[in-house]
Order: sequence, then structure tokens, then C-alpha cells
Amino acid sequence: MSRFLRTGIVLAISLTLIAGCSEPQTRDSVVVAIPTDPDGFHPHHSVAAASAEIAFNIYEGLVKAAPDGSIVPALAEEWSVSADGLEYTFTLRRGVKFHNGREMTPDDVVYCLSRLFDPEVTSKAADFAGVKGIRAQGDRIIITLHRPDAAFLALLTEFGAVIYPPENEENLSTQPVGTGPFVLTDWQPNDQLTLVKFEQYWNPELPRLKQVILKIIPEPAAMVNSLFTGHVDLIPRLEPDYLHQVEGKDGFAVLAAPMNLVQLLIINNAVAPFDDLRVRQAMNYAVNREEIIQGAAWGKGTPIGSNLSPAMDIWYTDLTDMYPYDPQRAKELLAEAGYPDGFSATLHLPAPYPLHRGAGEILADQLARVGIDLKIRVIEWGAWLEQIYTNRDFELTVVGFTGRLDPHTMLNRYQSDSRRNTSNFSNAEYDELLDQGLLEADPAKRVEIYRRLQTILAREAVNIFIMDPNQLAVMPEKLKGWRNYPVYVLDLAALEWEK
Amino acid sequence: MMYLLKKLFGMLATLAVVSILTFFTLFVLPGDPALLILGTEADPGALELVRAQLGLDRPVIVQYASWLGGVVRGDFGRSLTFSRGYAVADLIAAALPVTLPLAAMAIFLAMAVAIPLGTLAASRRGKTADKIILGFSQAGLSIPAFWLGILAIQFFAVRLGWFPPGGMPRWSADPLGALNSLILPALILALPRAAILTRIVRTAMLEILKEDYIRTARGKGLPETAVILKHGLSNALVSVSTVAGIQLIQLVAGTVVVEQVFSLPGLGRLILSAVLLRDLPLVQGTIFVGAAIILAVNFLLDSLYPILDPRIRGVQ
Amino acid sequence: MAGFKWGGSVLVIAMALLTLIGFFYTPHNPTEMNIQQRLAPPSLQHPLGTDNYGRDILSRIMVGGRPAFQAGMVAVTLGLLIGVLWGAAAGYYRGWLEEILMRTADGLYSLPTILMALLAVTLLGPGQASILVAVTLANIPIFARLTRAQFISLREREFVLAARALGLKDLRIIVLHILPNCLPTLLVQASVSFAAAILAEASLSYLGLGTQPPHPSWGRMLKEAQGFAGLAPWAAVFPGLAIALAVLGFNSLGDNLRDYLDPKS
Repeated sequence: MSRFLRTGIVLAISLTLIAGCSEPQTRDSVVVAIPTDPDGFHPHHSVAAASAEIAFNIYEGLVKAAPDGSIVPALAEEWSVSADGLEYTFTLRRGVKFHNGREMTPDDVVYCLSRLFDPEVTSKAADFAGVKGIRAQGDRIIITLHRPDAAFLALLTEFGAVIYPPENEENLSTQPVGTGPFVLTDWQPNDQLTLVKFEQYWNPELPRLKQVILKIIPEPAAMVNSLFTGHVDLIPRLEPDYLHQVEGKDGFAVLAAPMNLVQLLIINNAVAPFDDLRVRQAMNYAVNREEIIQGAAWGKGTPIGSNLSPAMDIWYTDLTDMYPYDPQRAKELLAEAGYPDGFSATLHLPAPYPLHRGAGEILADQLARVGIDLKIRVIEWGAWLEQIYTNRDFELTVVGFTGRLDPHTMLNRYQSDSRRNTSNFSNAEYDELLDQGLLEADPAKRVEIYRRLQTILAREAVNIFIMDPNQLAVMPEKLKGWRNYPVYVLDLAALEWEK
Repeated sequence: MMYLLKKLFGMLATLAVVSILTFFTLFVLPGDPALLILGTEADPGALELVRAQLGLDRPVIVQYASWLGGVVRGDFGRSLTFSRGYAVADLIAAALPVTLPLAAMAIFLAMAVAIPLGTLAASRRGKTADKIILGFSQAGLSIPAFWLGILAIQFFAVRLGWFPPGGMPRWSADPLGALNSLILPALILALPRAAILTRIVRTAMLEILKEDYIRTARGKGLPETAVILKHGLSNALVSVSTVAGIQLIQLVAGTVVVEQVFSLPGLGRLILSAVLLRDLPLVQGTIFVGAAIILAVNFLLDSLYPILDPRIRGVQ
Repeated sequence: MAGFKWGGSVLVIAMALLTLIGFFYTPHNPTEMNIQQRLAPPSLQHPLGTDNYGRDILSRIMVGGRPAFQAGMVAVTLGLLIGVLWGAAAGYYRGWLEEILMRTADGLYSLPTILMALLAVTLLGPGQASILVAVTLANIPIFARLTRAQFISLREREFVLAARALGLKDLRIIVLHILPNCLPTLLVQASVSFAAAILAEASLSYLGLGTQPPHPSWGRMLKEAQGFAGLAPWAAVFPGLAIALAVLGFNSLGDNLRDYLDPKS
């Protein structure tokens, strides 16, 4: 063969290989765009929703949430509850391996959950104050409670309750080891995370993909642009403001579904003039939810009238009619309350959430039309957490409460002495009903209790409940297996490329 | 030699001032790092423990000395917001391979544009070419970089698809792709620098053109181009290096905005996140490193200065 | 004023006029939302179109210049006043005073404006106040160095030596004799600094550190328009154009002043 021909062939092969190598993705891997870095993967110490969302693929607990909101087996194959509701028995799945190769034992479960229940270890223990004890019995785990807790099982589906090998405790935050379908093999902060299929996952059918790369792209504009150039395959949560760029685009699908988020204007009930029911009612009358849904979420949202979303299915009560849009009535009520010319107040908005900022701005415009002038202050999340969430040093703010499986955990923040009672709401009837709800075993009666609880919140105009925005997931049409959950998780296991 | 030592001392002194300024400014900040780490649900006992671990109960001077000691060892402490395990030094080290090449490319592009354009403008002084170039220079200085960036992304990246519209793959994973994703940002970053440098080169060349020895050379019949190039360029380089320090600072500042527009995970974006998230160790570390780099480059330029300009050498 | 080129001044006056008029009249209320009419292209009713909340862009541009001009005025006035005093003291008295003053000025100078803005924001929170602090601090060393350089060269001139020989007090010499000779240079720098301050305010508002909603600011308008640049390019083009014209105006003005006051440079 002539020298030229040989060189030519080598060159052609090399170029093809190079071209192949620079392909952004192959058909068994996916690149996902996320806006922020997780704050660590230790189940007892990580607090960010972004972390829990990803951790859903790395760790598992005894039970996990299903896309329809039910609770399904994970590390526990089956479970039973004693008649008095005080004893839970879980039968562990056999042969489950951790990412470090070791097989999971009941002692691991006892170790992890004991720490979860311990207030010295984690603040998440507050949810489990009613737990009496936990022990292993053969391949069973038995947890006893001081009093019945209808929300207990739902709490075990959350990130805090996952199981990990005790020997990996020390570096767990940056080097998580779990039993989930994916292993975290690389984490470049502020850049990307790499998840690789766990070959020894107990469910041989999952995951479908070999690799998932989570790219951190803070700017939604860059996210969308990367989607079109193929640098990114999946955007799990697209900001509604960018919907117009992807809707109708050939080859791409936008999957929208309610995300079980309660977006609301939190009113500090302990501060004048918001301690006056009429003022709060006036504000509710002044608000046009449809306009906010159009303006901030481009129509992709469902209005709500209380602190639960329609995604909560049987638990949800529609109270959007309690205070229909009526600016005239709003002005009358304000005058009655002693503010015929309205008043001024400060509205704090959280910087990292364009949806809440947008809703806040539109709200401010609507309230201005009835004479309530709001000074808007956008503050960073850390500052928001400290000033507003912890110290309750605010008047008004807009934020979203992410969904949890059991209605009790969504509504108990309005308990008079709850640490999450940002609104400073206090109502004896409410507190009593809340306790009853946990103890009630009859599902129908329980539904009625939560209906009454939601009604109290709406009637008292505690806050202005705005909407449950849709989660907008964008991906190529060829990417199948996307599952939408009523809780804040990112399920990567069932994703696969269409052949 | 003395000149160099004096400059070195000056640089270290300025660095010290910068670090003290940053440290103490942030120290008066309201806000509780422990709360940031543990989250709002933490109980007071745990918060106290973390505060003690971070050494927040010690007097300010002691904390500063301790931080300085760490810096000398290369330990900038741990970030409060990027997963408590991450060392600030690591975060900065990951950001440098984005910002340094970006800045280098921008400087190169700026010089590559400024020198020929400035020379051309000087040699055609007063004529149309000169006016056009001066006009471009003025425009380049006045047009906001982020505006241009937004429009450039729409046109060159979204519409034409020549460049990625944001983000940057890692050098180890995709070197060509990484380079490609820096081109548009580097151009945007270079524009204002090119604008200023064009004027400086032009001014320097104009000076040379008026000099006596050019007239002498002309008298001797030497070709004009050779003369311009030889004397003009070295004079231009001297002028450029005079303002290089300032330009470098402006360039680094420009990276904060450009990295934001193009979603590049560099030092600029890191500083911005650190400040907005109130991540004190990260802020202290990034500002310190940023200032150190600027000052080090300045120092290097100052050392080269005597070589470039014989007049300074003589003064020593 | 023969030989003075008016290009830059015309732009400056135009943008200033636009902003000034905005204090008394705008075609629409700049903060009033109208979701139905969001992202509408330019029309008779909305000559520059509407933004993503349906607010009139022309009105917002007229009002959006205020933070920019305010930044410019504060930066130049305060920066000049403090900077000149600083530089005058250093340049006139020399010696250890000069060393200390200029070392500090150098330190301040080495901090880019954005950095100072970030620090200011950390302490004061985002908003116009932080921007004003940052641009002022950025300009103090500039004017200080300029003044000092002028003073060093001027203090050896005959008229100064003569004044000292006459036994005139230092302050008098500085204020009445040396400073007036610095004015041309300071004036040119003032124009350039004004331009830089406008650009700084716009950049910082773009990053989210400056003017807060719903008050308009050119930079902030760009930030809000970025996501819709494909759908509604006018929302991104016009605010940027406003910034460019204002900055161009002041920069050109500075150039023209320089050409007029010191043609040989």
C-alpha cells in the first residue's frame, strides 16, 4: 500500500474516532441540567432540597414514594402496623448491597435510624419525637412509638431516613454510599456531578442508563441553549419564563405536571396591621390569582386557596372561592380596619427563585391598586433563612413550601408553637384538630379533619395562597421514562433512550 | 535590583492591606455562619458547637492571624455553603482553569486587535481610517459588555450555532470544546480592553512619528515602514505596559459579568456566588487569590519595565 | 468655544433631558403591569414595546436613567472632592505623608469597582446605596493620583516658587494657584468617570446587586429581558442602547474636552 494511502486511512480513522469521542452523549447516558450545587449528601445534615432531589438516586430508605403519591417498598419488602398503631414491623429485603460492596444488615438500619431519631445528631429528629425505640429482630426491624402517628410511614420515605453503611459515616457528605441505583463517582463543585449505574442494585431491571451527568448551570438561559446544542439532554425543572423557547420545538417534549408546591404570600400575623383579620382578608380580596399564574408561570399553575395542593388528591379541599378577586371589597375592608388610604409595608423576596420573585412583583402591583404600597427587597437565601424563617423579622414574603406525602407534615407548620410557623399563626381549634389528625385511624374521618384544617387556614386568611406551579420537564422526544412525583425528587432510574 | 525589591515589598504590602480589608470588612457582617451550615432547624447546642469549631468565639485579630497562617500553608478554610466538606482552595483551583485561559485569550485578542489598529490609525492620522478606528474605539469602550454578550449569544450561538451558548466542558474531557466555549466570552471581554489599548498604541506611535530620529532616518532615506515598526512598536509596548496593571484589573472585574452571561464556572462567578451567599471563607479566599494574581502579574510587568524602557534603566 | 466638538455633549444632553423629563411626564406609569399586553412589539401606544409584565419600555427607560445618572453625579462629586484633597496633600507636601496617602490609594485602586460593590452589597444589602459607595470609592484614588501627579509637576513651577517666596500660606497656594491649573485635567477625568459610573451601575444592576424591583434601571431591564431576547428583542435592545448612548456621550465629551483644553496631547 502506498504511503499516502496508509496515512490517509490512519488519518480518516483518527478523525472518525475524534469525532466520535467529542459526541456529547451516547445512547446509554444522559446529561441533566441543575441550577445549584447540592449542599452535601449526608442524610442527617443536608438541608437543601437540591441535595435530597439527587440523593433519591443514590440512597434508599425502608420505604419510598411512588409517582402517584403512594408509599411503596424499598429496603423493606413488606411491613405491618400493630392494631394500636404503636408498633411498626418491617421485613428487610435480603441481599441488598451497598455501593462499597458490603451487604446491608439489620444493624445498619438500626444504626442509621437511631441517629435520625436522635436530636443530638440531627434537627430532623424533631419529626420523630414520638418514637420510643428501634430494634432488630432477625431480618426484621421493629420501631415502637409513644403514640400513634398517621404520618410516620410517610416520613420514612424522606431523605433523612435513608440507610448507609456506618463505616462510611465520616466522609458521607462528599462521598455518599447508599443502596440506590446510581453511585456518585465524581463531584466537581460548581461544575458537575457524575452518577454511574450501580451494577449490583437489588432491582436488576433498573437503572436503565449507564451514566448520568448532572451539570450545574445557574442561568436558565444557558440551560435552554445547552439543550438545543445537545450539550444537555434533560432539564427537570425549567423556569416558566423560558417555556416559550422550548414549546413547540421539533424533537423536544415539555412534560408539565403539578409539583405539589404551595406557593404563597406569607403574612406575619403577629405584626400590625396584619394582626387584624380584616386587613388580611382585604389583601386576599385584592389578589387576582389567575393574573399571577399567567404573569409569573405563563399559565402553568393551579390556583389554591389553602396550604395544600390539588396534587394531594383526596386530602385536598378547594377553597379558592373563599376570597374571590374583588378589589372594591378589599378597599372597603381596609377602610373598616382603619386604613382608608391603605398603608405601606416591606415585601421580602428570595433571590434564587424567579417564580416567587415574579409572583411577588405582580402581587405588589395588585395590592398597590387598593392602596397597599409594598417596598420590595430581594435577599439571598441564607439571609432569607436567617432573617425571615428563623427570626421572623419580616412583614410579608413570597415562597414555596415543597410537598411532602402526608397532609399532616404540610399543615403542622401552622401549629402555634411550631418552629416552622413563619406566619405566627395561633389558633387553639387548629392545634387540637392537628393532634387529632395524627391519631385518627379511620381514613374517611382523617380526610374530614384535614378538610376542616384547610378551611380554618383559608377562613382566617392566614396567608395569601397563590398556586401550585407546574413542574416543567424538558427533554428530547426520544428520552423516555420520565416520572413526575408529588415530592421534590429527581427519578433517574427509569430514564432510557428510545431505540 | 533595589528597584525589584522595592516593588516586591510594595506588592506584599498591598496584598496584606487587601487581605486585612477583606477580612475585617466581612467580620462586621451580620449573619451567623453556623446557621448557614446547620440550617434553620438546628438547635442552639449544635450551633454553639459549630461556632466553636469555626473558632468564631476568638478575638478578631487571632482569627485573622490563624487565617493568614492557613493561607501560607495553602489552606483557605472550608466553604460554608458548598457542602461543608469542600475546601476553598479546591474550589478556587477548579475555577482557575476557566478564568486564567479566558483572561489570557482576552489579553491576546485585545493586543492582536489594538496593535495593528492603533498603528494604522497613527499612520493615517486625521484621515478617514483614523476617524473610523477612533470611533470604533470609543464605541468599544462605551458599549456594555453584557448587552453585547446577550446579543452575541442570540446571534452566534443560538441562530448560527458556531459556539456553545453557555457553560464550558472540562479541559480534560473535551479540550477543543472548552476552547470553543471561551472564544465568544473572550471576544466580549477583550472588546473594552482593545478599545483602550488601540488609543494608547496610537498615541505612542504618534509620538514616535514626531521624533527627531524619524526625521533623521527619513533624511537618510530609510524606508518609513521599518522605522515606524522598530521604534514605534517598542515605544507602544512601553506605553501599554504602563497601563497594563490597570487594564488587568479591569479585565478581572470584567470576568465577573462575562462569566455570569455565559455561565462559565470561573473565579468571577465564584466570587459573585460567595458574596451573595455570604460564604465568608470563600469570599476571603477568592478575593485574596484574585488580588494576589493581579499583583503578581503587575510585579512581573514592573520587572520587565526596565528591560523595555532604557530610560528607567538609566535612572537606577 | 471655537474648535470644540459637540458630538458627545449632544448625546449627554439628550439622555439627560430624557431622564429629566421622566421626572414630570412619562407616556405610561413605568411600574404599572398589564399582563395581557406583555412582550408587545413597538406600536403607537407603546413606541418601544412592552416588557414581560406588560410595562411600557419607553416610560421605563425614561425613569431607568435615574440610578445611572445619580451614580455618575455622586461618584464624580464625592470622588473628586475627596480625591483631590487627598492627592493635593500628597503632591504638595511629599515625604512620608505622600507615602502613606498614596500607598492607601494604591490599595484602594487595586480593588476593582465590582469587588467593592460586592463588599458593599455584603454589608448593606443590594441596592443603590451599595453602588454609590462602590463607585465613589473607585473614583477617589483616580482623582487622587491625577491630582498628585499634577501637583508634583506644578509645585516646581515659577509661579508657585514665587508665591512661596512671598510667604503666602500653603492652603492659599494650593487652592488659589495650583488647583485652577489642574481643572482641565480634572474636568476631562470627571467626564470619563461619569461614563464609567453609569456603566458600573448598569453592570451591577445586571448582576442583581443594584436597583431593586419594581424600580426601573437600565441594567436591570437588560437582566429581565435576557430570557426573552428571542421572543422580544426590543426589550433587550433598547435598554442596552440607552446605556451605550449615555456612556458614549460622556466618553466622547471627555475626549472632546481633552482635545479642546489640551490639543497637543
